[in-house]
Amino acid sequence: MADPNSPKIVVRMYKTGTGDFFLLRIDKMDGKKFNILLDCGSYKFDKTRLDEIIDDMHALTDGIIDLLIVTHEHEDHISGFETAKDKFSKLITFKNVWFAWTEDKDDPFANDLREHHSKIRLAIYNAYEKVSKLMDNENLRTLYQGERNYADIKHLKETFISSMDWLNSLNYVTPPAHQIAGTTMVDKFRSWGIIKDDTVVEFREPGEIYNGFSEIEGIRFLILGPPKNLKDLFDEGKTDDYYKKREKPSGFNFEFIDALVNDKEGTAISYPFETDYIVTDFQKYMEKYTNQEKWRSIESDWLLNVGNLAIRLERCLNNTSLAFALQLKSNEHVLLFTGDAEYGNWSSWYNKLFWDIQTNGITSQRDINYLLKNTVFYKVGHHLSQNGTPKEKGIDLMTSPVFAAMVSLDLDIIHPKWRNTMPCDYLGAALIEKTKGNIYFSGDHNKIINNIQTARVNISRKNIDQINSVCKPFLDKNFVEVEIN
Amino acid sequence: MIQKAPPFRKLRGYAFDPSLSQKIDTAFINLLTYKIPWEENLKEGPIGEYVEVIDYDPTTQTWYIPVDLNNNYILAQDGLFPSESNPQYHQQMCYAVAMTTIMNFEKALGRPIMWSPHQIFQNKNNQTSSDPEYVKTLRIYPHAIRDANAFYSPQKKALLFGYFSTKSNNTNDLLPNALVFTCLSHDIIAHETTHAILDGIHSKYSEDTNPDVLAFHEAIADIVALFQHFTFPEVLTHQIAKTRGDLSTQNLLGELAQQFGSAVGNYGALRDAIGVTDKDTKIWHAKVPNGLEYQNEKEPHNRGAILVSAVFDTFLTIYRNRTADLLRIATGGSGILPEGYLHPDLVNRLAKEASKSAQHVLNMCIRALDYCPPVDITFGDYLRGIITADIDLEEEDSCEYRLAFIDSFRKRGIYPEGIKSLSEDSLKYSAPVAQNIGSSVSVLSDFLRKFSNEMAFTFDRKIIFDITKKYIKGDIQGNNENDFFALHSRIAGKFSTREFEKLTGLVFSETYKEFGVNPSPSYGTAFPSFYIRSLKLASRVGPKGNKTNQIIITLSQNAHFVVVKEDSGKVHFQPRGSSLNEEPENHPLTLMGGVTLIFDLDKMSLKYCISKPILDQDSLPAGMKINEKRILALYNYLTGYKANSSAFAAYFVPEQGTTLLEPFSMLHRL
Repeated sequence: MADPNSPKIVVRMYKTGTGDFFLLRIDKMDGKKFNILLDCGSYKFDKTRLDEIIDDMHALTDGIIDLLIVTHEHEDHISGFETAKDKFSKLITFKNVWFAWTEDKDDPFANDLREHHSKIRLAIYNAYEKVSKLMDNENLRTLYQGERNYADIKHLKETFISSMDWLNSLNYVTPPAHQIAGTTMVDKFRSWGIIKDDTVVEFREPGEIYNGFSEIEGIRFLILGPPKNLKDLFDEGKTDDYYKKREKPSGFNFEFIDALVNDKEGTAISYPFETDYIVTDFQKYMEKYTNQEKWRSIESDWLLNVGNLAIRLERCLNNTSLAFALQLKSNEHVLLFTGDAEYGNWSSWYNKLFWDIQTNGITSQRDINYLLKNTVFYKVGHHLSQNGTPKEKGIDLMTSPVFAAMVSLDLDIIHPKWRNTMPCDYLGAALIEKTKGNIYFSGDHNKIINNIQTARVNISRKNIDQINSVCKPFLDKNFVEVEIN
Repeated sequence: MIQKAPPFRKLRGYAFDPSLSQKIDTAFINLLTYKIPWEENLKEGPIGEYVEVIDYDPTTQTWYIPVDLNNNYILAQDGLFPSESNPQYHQQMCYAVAMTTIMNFEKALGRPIMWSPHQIFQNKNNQTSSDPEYVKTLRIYPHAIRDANAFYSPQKKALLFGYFSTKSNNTNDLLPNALVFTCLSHDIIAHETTHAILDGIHSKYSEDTNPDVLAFHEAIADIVALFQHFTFPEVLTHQIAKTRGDLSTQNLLGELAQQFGSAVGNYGALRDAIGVTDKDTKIWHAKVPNGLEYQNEKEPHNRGAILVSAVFDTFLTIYRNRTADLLRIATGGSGILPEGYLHPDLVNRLAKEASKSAQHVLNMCIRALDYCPPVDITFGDYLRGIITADIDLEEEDSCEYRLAFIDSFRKRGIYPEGIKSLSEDSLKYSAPVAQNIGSSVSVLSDFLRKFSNEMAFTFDRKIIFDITKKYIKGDIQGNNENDFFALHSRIAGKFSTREFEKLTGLVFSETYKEFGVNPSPSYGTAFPSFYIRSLKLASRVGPKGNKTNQIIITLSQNAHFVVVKEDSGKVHFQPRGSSLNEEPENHPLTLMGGVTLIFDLDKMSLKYCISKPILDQDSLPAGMKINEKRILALYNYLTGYKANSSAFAAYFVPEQGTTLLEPFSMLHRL
């Protein structure tokens, strides 16, 4: 019989490829379970497999999800809700749904932020349209047919377009500004039948502490992010406190956006100089420099920069992740779920964020250091990439001797381009060390360990044996599971 | 009356970039008059012999009116006055700095610089082969992109400069939302022009085959930009006078070097290796190398920084040696400067010495490029190039310049491979010892003499290109190849010996397929394909009047393999085209080999042979074996590649190790 004062939490990660799909079951007073679903997304869903998993979930939960938590709008976190919307809306009842404050239409700051994202999406969309047209096969032929590396040019263009397609498809909700503005995830989830009329939808903000579910009195929710200021939301991280040591953070390139998107008044492109300097009869120049040496023209080069903008938007959307901690009141143990939060989200937790936490009848103000110190379970951010977990403000502070981690990474079901950054060897090795091998993967763990094991890190044989032994019981199952108390 | 063209065209410009003109303490040093060799036929643009400035902005699809530097009003006032809001001034600035950089290279190399040729397909007898086409001018687009970036495009033989707006929280020096133009920065223009020039000398240096190659490109570009500053004594005079207290420790030059870079954002990032400013005391001090830098630092930018700091360290040593007597004279022998202002004469002399030292270091750095292997360069190779080139020009190291170079490289742990000691003697490339080569060389000697005679008084770059092409390929106008027995066919015919293979490390035997080399597109399957990258005449005069006449030939060859990974994790390499390569898990890998052959024209002997071998030279001539060491190093580098790539590269670059069309675009983001 479960002890309501020190409940167990069973964390189950479904194996659906690279993407988050977690079911948390918590002991209730009445001996039943309180079910939390956290995201449901994947790089690519096998529909049959997804259906099987939903059946499994239905059987486990009697079709009741007490709380659905949606971290952020990326495909690898929410696409399952659309793919299996019929099955979900038929079989599963979602009683409560939580989103981050970013989805709240009554929040003017959130509305501004979404508008900003939409504007960037529009710039990306316009640039993408232009660049695909300028680099269509016919134009490429005209420009570069005689070049020795014509084949390379074509190949590069194809890579560019396919990567752009992938980055675009990742942003599942935010529409380009000229399409239906103001769409939020709430609208989407309603349209998929996940949110029904009697579903309670709430938006969470950093600093909140939530004790509202009477069935699970032994548990509290602490909300960490997303931060409510642009500086942090746009912060992809600095190089010195990070498992990425390879590039400078970029800013939003407003000049670039301005050349692609008209402003609200409909004013076209901003010019860098007074119009007096502009040539009016430019035909003769065109004739000489564009038509004669076509291979030297630069019509499309500036547009390739859209790739950076798309990456930038992806990372800013990562920063809108609803990051939270679940705490067991009895022993102060913490389960940490950060979605795909990047550096700005993480570092904001250190900025005047406190929770009044009662232990043994005494209430005291606690901060993120306390939570990280008590973390016994970590859902590894952003599929073990270098930009999902900071070192000094993250891993280094997780010092609990009992520590397990789960990684939603599957090297067989992943966009090939993500393989370049996932897994990050430094981070992977650090986590393996911290958890002493108590680490679970949604994909083939041997492949992932192989990838982590580079020349610059060290993984002990003992820890590898431990990973093998914790992953082994789940080899023929469609999930991995760990019990936390 | 004799009308004689003036030697120079004077053009006013920023010494650094516009941001310095907005600060009261730096505004007065930021204006400089560039002296550019007079170009008689300079057209609107400006469009001259070497560069063409084309001011088309694709982001707005507008053309800006090209400046006419021969306009009377403009001529009368040494060019347009520096202005951020006048695009015509931007055109002038690009022209002035690019030409200054080009002239520095020509001075050091002793020959006209050539842009890397435009490689097109040629269809001949139903055989397609690549054909190099002359590129007269480097194209400069001052307003090509809207990004904090500027790059040289090897594909278009063009410099693309970007502009961007700053956000108010970035910096106090700039107006919020003010536009920043990269084409107005001396450092950026000089840097990008150097990329283009280097690509013209060694076009394979843009291929990322070891951690040093792209770092080298960056570092050379930065070194040229940096030392070009120091060659303007005007700038130094003011600064030396102003901060006289720093002189005794030579901090000033280091601090200045860094400031030059910081004015344009991260462009001078390579110079961070020179020194740091203490957070509390605000005092700048040079970074003391620990000797492990080169071994430990793998990222291209940080690696480039090591080279920059090594060269800068050399410069400081040389400057210190050259001014020690001056300081003693000025201080009555004590070497300790008195309080108060320095005597203006002393300031001028010090500035002149600094400027001369800078010019000397710059010359040594540029000249060394001719003494480098054509592919896969490392910093160690470069050090050997610097030493060898300098010994060739001046036997005696009377001012200990070479020692200064060796010492500062040693301090950072940069050791060339296979060298027993870091002495001048062992660093200098030695004359190749190989039997039976002598006779083959003498076969070539008439040919090379003929080439040098034809080239000797040719200054027209197009004619130089055509003559060179004729001597390499023969058949320039589609004439019968037999009319002219050119270098390529001579090498294929006369040099397919084991001795030549041992010497060069390249494959010339009929068993070439076993080493993954493709058959020659020109001579059929009996011959392996190889490429003559350059053939040039270098005549230089040393500081003591001694002359060197040399012919430099560079060859390269590609060996294509597939990587076969055994279950045990062991890898081996199989020539592509043989069986077993159909497995999808087997990755292709291309090993580039190359050699720089330097002939002494006066003695008609092969003086140096600087090689990056495909073959294991030690096993030759007895047996032929692939160079395991090089191919393994390449494999390890490319498979560890992802650690170095940027997010942009991770998404948008096709496969690891594929040729990038715009390799410099990604390295430069500000």
